Amino acid sequence: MIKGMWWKIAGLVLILYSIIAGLTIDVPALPVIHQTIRNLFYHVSMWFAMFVMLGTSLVFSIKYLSGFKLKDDLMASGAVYTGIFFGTLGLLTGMIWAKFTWGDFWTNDPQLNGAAVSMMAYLAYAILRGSIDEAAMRARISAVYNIFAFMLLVIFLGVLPRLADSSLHPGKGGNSSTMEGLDPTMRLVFYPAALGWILVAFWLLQIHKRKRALIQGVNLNK
Amino acid sequence: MIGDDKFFVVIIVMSIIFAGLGFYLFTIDRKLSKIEKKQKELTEKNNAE
Repeated sequence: MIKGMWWKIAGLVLILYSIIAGLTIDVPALPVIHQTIRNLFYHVSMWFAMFVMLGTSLVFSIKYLSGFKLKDDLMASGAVYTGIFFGTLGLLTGMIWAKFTWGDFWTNDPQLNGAAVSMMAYLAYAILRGSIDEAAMRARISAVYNIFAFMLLVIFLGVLPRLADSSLHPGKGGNSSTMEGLDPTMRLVFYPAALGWILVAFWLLQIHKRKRALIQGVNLNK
Repeated sequence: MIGDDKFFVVIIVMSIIFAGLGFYLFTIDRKLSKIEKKQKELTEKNNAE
C-alpha cells in the first residue's frame, strides 16, 4: 500500500512543512507588502498547481484526439476541474493579498483581469461538457475546446500582462520578477510548497479520474 | 507578528485542518481501491462464466 502512496504522503508532508515554516521563518522587511510576502508560499504555489493541471489536461486532450480512448478524456476533464479548483484558490488567496497590499480585493490589473478571463474560459468548458449527453461527442468537442482554452490561458496570463504598460504584479508590465530577487530562505519554503501542491493536485486528479471511471464503467487499464 | 502568542494558535489550527483534509483524502482513496477491487473480481467472475 505504501509503495503507491509515497508521493501522496510526500505531497501532504511538503504542504504541512510549508504551512509551519511559511509562517515561522524570517522574511525580508519589504515596503508595502511587509509580512504579507508569506502569502507567496500559498498563492503562487496554487497557481503553479493550476498551470500543471491545465497543462496536463492539454496533453490528454491531444492524446484523446489522436486515439479516441475515453480514459484520456477522463484525465483531460479531471485535470481541468482540478485546475479550476486550484485557480479559484489562487484567485481567493490573491484577492486577500491584494486587499492588504493594494487596498482593494480587485484592481484593474492586466494579470488579475487575465486570470479572471482564463478562469471563465475553463468554466465555459465545464458548461460545454455538461450540455452534451453523448460520451464520444462530449469528449471530442471538449478536447478541441480545451486546446483553445489553454491558448487563451497562455495569452491572457503569460503574454498580455508582460506586454502591458503597467502592472502591480511582479514580473509583469516591466516590473522585475519576484523569483529573481527571492530571498534564499524563502526559496527553501517556496519550492517544497509548490512541489507539495502539485503532488496533491495530481492526487485529486487521480481520485476524480478513478471515481468517474467507476461511474461510467471505463476500463483504465485498456 | 512572531512575538504574538496567538500566532502559534493559527499555525496549530491550520495544521490540524490540513491534516484532517489529508486524512479525508486517504479515506476516499482507500474506499475507491476497495470498490475497484470488488469490480475487478466481479468482472473476472463474469468472464469465467
